[in-house]
Amino acid sequence: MLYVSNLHKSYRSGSRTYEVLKGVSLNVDKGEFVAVMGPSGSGKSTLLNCISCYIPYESGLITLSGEKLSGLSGEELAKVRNEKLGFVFQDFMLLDGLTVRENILLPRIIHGEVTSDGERNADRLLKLFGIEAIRDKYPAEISGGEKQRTAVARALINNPLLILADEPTGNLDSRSSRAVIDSFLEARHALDATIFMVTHDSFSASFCDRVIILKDGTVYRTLENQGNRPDFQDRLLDTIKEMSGEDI
Amino acid sequence: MKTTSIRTMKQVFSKLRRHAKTDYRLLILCNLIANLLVSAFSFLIWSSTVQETFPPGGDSMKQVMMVFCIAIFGCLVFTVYAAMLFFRCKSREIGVFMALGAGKRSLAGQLFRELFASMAFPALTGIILGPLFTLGIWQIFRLFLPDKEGTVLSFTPYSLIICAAFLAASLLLCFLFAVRFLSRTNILDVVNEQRKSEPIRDVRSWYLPAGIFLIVFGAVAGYGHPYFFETFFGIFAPAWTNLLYLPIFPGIYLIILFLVIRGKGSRKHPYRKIISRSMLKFQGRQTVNNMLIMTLLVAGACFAMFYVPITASGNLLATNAWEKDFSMRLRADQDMPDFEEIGQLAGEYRLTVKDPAETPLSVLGKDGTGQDIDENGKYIYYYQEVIADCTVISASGYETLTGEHIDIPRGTYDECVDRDSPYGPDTETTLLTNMVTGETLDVRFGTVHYSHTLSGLTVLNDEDFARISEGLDSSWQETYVQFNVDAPYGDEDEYRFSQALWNRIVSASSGAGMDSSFYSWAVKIYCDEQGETYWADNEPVSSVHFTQEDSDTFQFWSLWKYKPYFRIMEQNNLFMNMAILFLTFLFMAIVCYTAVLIISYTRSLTLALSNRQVYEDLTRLGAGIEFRFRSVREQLSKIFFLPTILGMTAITLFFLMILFANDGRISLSEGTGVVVCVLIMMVFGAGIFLFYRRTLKVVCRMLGINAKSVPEKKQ
Repeated sequence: MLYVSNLHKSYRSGSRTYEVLKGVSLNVDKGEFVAVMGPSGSGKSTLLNCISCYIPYESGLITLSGEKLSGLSGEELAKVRNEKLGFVFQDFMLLDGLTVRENILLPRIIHGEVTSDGERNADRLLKLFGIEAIRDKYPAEISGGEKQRTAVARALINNPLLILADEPTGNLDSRSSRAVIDSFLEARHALDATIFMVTHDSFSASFCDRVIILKDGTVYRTLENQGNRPDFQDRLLDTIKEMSGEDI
Repeated sequence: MKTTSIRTMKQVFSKLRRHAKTDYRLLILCNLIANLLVSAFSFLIWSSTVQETFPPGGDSMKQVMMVFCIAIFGCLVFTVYAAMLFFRCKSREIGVFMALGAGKRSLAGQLFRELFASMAFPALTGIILGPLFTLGIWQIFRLFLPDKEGTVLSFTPYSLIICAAFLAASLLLCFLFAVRFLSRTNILDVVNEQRKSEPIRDVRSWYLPAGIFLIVFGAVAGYGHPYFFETFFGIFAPAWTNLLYLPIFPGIYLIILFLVIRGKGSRKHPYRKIISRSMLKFQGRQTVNNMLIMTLLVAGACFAMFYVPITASGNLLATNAWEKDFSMRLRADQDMPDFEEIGQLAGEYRLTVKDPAETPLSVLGKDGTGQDIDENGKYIYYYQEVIADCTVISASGYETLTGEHIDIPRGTYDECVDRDSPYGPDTETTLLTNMVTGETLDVRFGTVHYSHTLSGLTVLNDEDFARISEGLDSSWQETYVQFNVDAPYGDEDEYRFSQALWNRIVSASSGAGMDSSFYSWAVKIYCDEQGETYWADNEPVSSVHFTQEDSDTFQFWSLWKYKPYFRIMEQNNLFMNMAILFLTFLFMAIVCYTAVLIISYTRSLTLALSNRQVYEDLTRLGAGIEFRFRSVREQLSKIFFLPTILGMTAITLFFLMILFANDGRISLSEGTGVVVCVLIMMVFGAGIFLFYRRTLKVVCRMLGINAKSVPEKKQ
């Protein structure tokens, strides 16, 4: 599904160059729920932004369902973002001037005119994520958890190959965070969605099938969920402690 | 539950537009105002009324054009800033569209349509309203003018070209910025545009003295360089030397940079302004650029507003100081009124003529050194036996008019000079020539007599006067007439009498009697005799010799050689004659001033948008309302007041320099003008302060700071 190989990305600040990704390689299979964890500055958000085609990168290969993203033109990349990817952001990125339902329909509207099928799909997602009652409300009138569930529904409206989520629970309280994770699990279960999530939160990550831990721009370790969530969360915390200990 | 759903991007944009009305309102308003001001201003400048008032190529027109260019630039800048602020407000929206897979091409189409609609329609409305605005203000002005017939404002289509050029330039610039805005490859940059900062490098302590030095150097070098070139190189300063004024701009820039970024630190509370200063620092480049333009605009507005008070207050004081109510030079070869007729006319207006006095004058040629420029731009000085007219009066004639007895030795001449005039006496004449008989008189300068009404006359010993005037025909002879009037029924009678007498004199004038003050028949005859061309004959006839039709124009009023000096008329007509000047300069001031307000407003909003997150963080860190309010106030006060103070100080110093450089002193009338200018600046300042208070409230509201809960004395 998603294949990343030897990805390099650096930023310039004044005369200095900071290499953020130093040859990251990973892959995500269809239907998988994968998280990326790591300390601040480890490059996890940069990795997600490169996969999202939001920022250019220097070298490496990213393929999505066999299609190479690096050689695509701006318009082709936009098409990929619209048709093959779904996005969930930490600060929701909902448009304040549109209702919940209109925000969900936005990727569809960008794709072309909204059909009755599209509308039915939006209504189904509203129902699936328990936000049907707020469909005509504006973002300013709903809670953070509701906003993020709206964002998850929006990410799924075009039936993408992959959902990319950047700290989706970062701005939420624990109840809302759980609701968002549940909506991801629901999306995977009901819609066979593939999810790639960047997070700081070991609790959220413990629901994933696999967690890739980044450190200083490289893959430090990959942990697999054996089926026991609390146990997986403990392993994640131990690994993070171990990584921090090395720093000391 | 069924709702009307949005199905197309067009509908999405339309709904978002309705939601973000404020963002559009600012762009629409800025375009409307910019185009209205440009249109109103250009319609005024290129109206035939103003074009006739300001001689083409004259200093006044150059000054008008200079401030007009600054004003246009200011309007262009605030239009572009409004567009950039609009992009900044739209950036999140556009970023979300891009992130969700909208193609740049389709977004560009939508954004361009929105931009065009928000710019072009208000602009066209502004262009249409501009002349109406001008006409409206002009009509209000005319209510106060005594002569309503001669002040009808007529427009020329030329100004439309200026309006179209401005509109095209502003559209082009904004579209270029839109293209740049959309062409970024990093989508996150678009999304985070509102949070983007523009850090600037460290500011050193030498910036302030260096800035002051550059300003002083630019002002002195710019203003004084013609004298330098003339004295040391003997050449006329070439046009490029005006670039010597340029150091003023980096000078102002360095001072603003220093004051914005470093400022005057407090030893007692070194961290007190750390937040506001840091915020300004990280918006530094744009803020300082904005402030530089605002400084120029403030200076432009003040310059425009100073022109009329300086001129008008000088004139008013001068007319008050005239020795007689009525004084005039009447040509002997034309049918001019005598005292009997003047007395009769005065009687018709219920006036009595008092203190009448008259004395003959003779017009001669005088020698002197002329100055010209050769093909290389070098000054050439040459002696000429007849370089100008010289109107002479005898010592006894002088006594008749002034009651003052003076003794002038033979072969000596005295000069009558206006004490307030920047021009001193002509001390270099050595030869007077009777242009009819060719008789000459060797003379040398004696002394100066101060008189307002007799200024410009040369006084000779009675015998010398009689000898050199012998044989002059009536075309070289004049009578100087002066008197006061007693107006028992009020000034209105006196004013109507002055108009009647003016009309009587003008209608009796013809031929040489309608010459411009700089035309000299003595020089004309001398040049003809030498087989040379008199330079004034190469000038357009209309600027040298007037006709009866010109008698209502400002040019005739200011340049007619035989203009009578009637105090009541001068004072009453001063406002009318100054009205066109005043209106033109008032417009320039309005345009510059409006541009200052809008730029400071848009800059303040940008600051609020950029720092919204910082203020949210400050709130989370426990910063109280007072603290946050103070930090906003510190930033906004710098944006508003620093350019205002700098611009006003710079232009005041510049004016004082010009006034002082004219004659090495600041006269009473000039001093009065300066006081009026200070009052104008106070009104300007008060307006800016009120607008600042309003903007402060808006910005506080945007940042969620309830200014009302801040104690009054801390606001």
